[in-house]
Amino acid sequence: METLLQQVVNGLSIASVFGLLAVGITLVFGLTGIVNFAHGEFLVQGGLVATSAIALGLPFPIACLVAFIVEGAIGWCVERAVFRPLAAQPVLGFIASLGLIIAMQHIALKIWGSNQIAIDAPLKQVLAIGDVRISAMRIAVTVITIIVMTVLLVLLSRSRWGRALRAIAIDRETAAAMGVPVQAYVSATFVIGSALAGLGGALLLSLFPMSPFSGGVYTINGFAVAIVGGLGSVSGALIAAVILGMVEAIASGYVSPVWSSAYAFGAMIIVLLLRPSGLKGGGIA
Amino acid sequence: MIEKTLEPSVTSTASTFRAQILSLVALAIVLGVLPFLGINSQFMQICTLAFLWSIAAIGLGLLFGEAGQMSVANGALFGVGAYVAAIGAREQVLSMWTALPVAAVTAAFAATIIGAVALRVRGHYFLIITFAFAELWRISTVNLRELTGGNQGIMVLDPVVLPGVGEIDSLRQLFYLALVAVIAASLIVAWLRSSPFGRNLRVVRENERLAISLGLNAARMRLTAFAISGALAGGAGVLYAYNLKHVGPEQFGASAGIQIVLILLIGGARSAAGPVIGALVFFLLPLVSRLDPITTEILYGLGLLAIVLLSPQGLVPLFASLVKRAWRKKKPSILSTTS
Amino acid sequence: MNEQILSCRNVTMRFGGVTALNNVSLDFPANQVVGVIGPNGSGKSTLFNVLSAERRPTQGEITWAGQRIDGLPPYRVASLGIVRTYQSASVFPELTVRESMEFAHWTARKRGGRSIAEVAEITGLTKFTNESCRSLPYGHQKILGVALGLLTKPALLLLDEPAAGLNQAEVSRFLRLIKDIRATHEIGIGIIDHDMNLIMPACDRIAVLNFGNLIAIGTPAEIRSNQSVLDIYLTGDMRSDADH
Repeated sequence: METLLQQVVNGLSIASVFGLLAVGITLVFGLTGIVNFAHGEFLVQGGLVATSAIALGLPFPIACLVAFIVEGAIGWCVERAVFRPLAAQPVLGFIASLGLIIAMQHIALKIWGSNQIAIDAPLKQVLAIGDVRISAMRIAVTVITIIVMTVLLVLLSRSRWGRALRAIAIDRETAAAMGVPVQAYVSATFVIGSALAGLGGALLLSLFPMSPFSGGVYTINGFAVAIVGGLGSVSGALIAAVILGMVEAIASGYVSPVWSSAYAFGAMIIVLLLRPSGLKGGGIA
Repeated sequence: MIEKTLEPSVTSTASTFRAQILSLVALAIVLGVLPFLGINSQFMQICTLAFLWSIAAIGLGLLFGEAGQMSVANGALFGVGAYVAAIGAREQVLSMWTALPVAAVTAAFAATIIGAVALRVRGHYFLIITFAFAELWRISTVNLRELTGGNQGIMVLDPVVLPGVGEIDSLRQLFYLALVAVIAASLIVAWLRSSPFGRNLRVVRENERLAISLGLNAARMRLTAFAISGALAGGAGVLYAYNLKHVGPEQFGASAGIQIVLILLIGGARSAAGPVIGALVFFLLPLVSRLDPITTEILYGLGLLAIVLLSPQGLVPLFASLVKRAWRKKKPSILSTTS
Repeated sequence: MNEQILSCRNVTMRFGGVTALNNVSLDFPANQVVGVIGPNGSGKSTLFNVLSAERRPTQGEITWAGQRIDGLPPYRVASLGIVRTYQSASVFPELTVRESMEFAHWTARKRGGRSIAEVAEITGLTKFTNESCRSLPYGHQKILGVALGLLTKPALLLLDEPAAGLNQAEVSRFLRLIKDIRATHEIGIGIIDHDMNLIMPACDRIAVLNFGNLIAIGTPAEIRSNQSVLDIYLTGDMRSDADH
């Protein structure tokens, strides 16, 4: 029987990874209007790449970095080859992302096989606070993802690049007329989103085994967090991830965890019915 | 010189409808002859299943081809119909024939619920919700074990009984049953396309904002089209359950939805005979190519990308227009619009 | 009996830190032509977006024949007889002109739409009926937008910069069209435009917006001689040419 604190940490650790996914989704959408259903596949591939890196003897943090870089690179290729030519027709972009799901998932199956993948947890300590035992790995994952998202948020609101991104999101033509290299920013955003998904996959792997078929579920969770937070808002995604993590943590004490996607889905429906712009819809930061 | 009336010229809709009917008749004849050409039973059964999947694609063709709204949920709606049939058979409350309307209504209802939520907001949310529904369906069918049989699914061992004829169990008879179903579905959709409803869907696709500003409830149009596509998928699902004799959760999730999209795009979203051809290509190609299933799926994924990037109106229409161009060079004739 | 007037009362529209409309109250009776003029960014299009329910005002109310209509979905407002056109030509690209007109006629089937032949004739589109909308020249596409609105037999037609993109000959023809419409049927018209050759002769009353505020309203003669209005327009192009 887990205590509330354990459940909260559990829930947060997973939800924060979905927050990473959601940040990528929301940035890409806010900037380009692209809905990329294959986003979850980048996460799964990140985990797969991390297992290979670890099998080669690399330590876990390096494996995370490898996953980050590899998925970012694949993201660049995908943006260049698929989404850029279809930028004028978003519907076709959606459909293309469906083809991406099939292709990416089965390429992964070809390379890594169809079995579940798992790694030894890099951090095996269990912290004891009073009589509550919390896995150090879960805390580490939560802390890392929240730091990454916060750094991104700070960059977005304070830095020169963040300003340019926000300008593009508000009015692309004006930004271009003012000399902002719009296409470079669009590509960079896609790369960052994919890289974050890859990192998320590696981190998630440290918590529990992953099936190469679960891309769709992760995609939906990522979209749910992004929509609850408001599509296009990074701070919204951050907040929504925390909230949904709490909800899942508390609810999973009473209902089987396989339904966790249903909570995210339910939250998304409620948001769409009551306040479609989400927590912080409108504007990219 | 002022013209008092508009010339009653032949509208493009009527000629398209005629062309579509012609192509369906031709298709029915060609396919109807197939069993007599010495095809083996594996081939025949694959064709039967292809026909049933193509009905789901035909429904999506109404939604996407006419209204411009894409959906990934139609695989799950297909599954709704299949499970209604399977559960109905297991509980001995539904025969295949009573399952057909029940499944169609259930699937249309599910589509209406999904759509009602999704259409209150902009179009991309609809797509996301259809994707979520497809995945949620798969999760539900796995987890609601008592109802759905969980991962093992449900066997459907009841025979198909044709009133007045008796049991139908030969592959050839099932082939023709499925062929009749797909031609009927194609005719229904072709008729809808040529009706004012079809025109209103096209209006929504062409310029939804303008349509609304003239007084059209665009959201309700799309919802109706979605419900109809659901009904077709649900009905086809019943036949699918009785043909395959087994339903399981992995068959009807997002990947099934994507499969239907691919079938539709191979055949051409706006054509009448296209979805059937697309389904036949999709299911028969692996037989011919002798590649392993995973590589085949990779190629399908890349193929969908290629179609979207190079020929979004569909492979078959592209092919048909190339053929027509070559034909025209040989003899000039007045060919009506693409079927 | 409620008079057929579309009126907005104390309408304020704020978004993204900008106040596009500030406490604007304005009437559009179904038997007048009301013009709305003002510099770029003065809130004119926003006003029409609010009137047609495409946007909800931050504050204020919109009423039609005494009933509140703000908060209704846009298609409902249109089916009540308030139809707007768009600043940039908006058509159904792949449909033919005829199919588009049949559609517009169909949406008003309960009210009884105007005859397609008649509307095609007075807008000069008769010879284009079997052409696709996308193949029409830009000016004709804009006229088609107005024709489609007319076909729904509206009580009030809101025209958003109908003259934008039209050459001088097309503008004069458009002015004649407005006069023809007014002569044959009881329709109120609201026009946003910059072209005084259209606004001055066509309108019974003119409202002037500046930075979201309604700064003047009156007959064309009154507006022409209103100092605060003249101050906004640096050049003296408030005078129109002689009647056409």
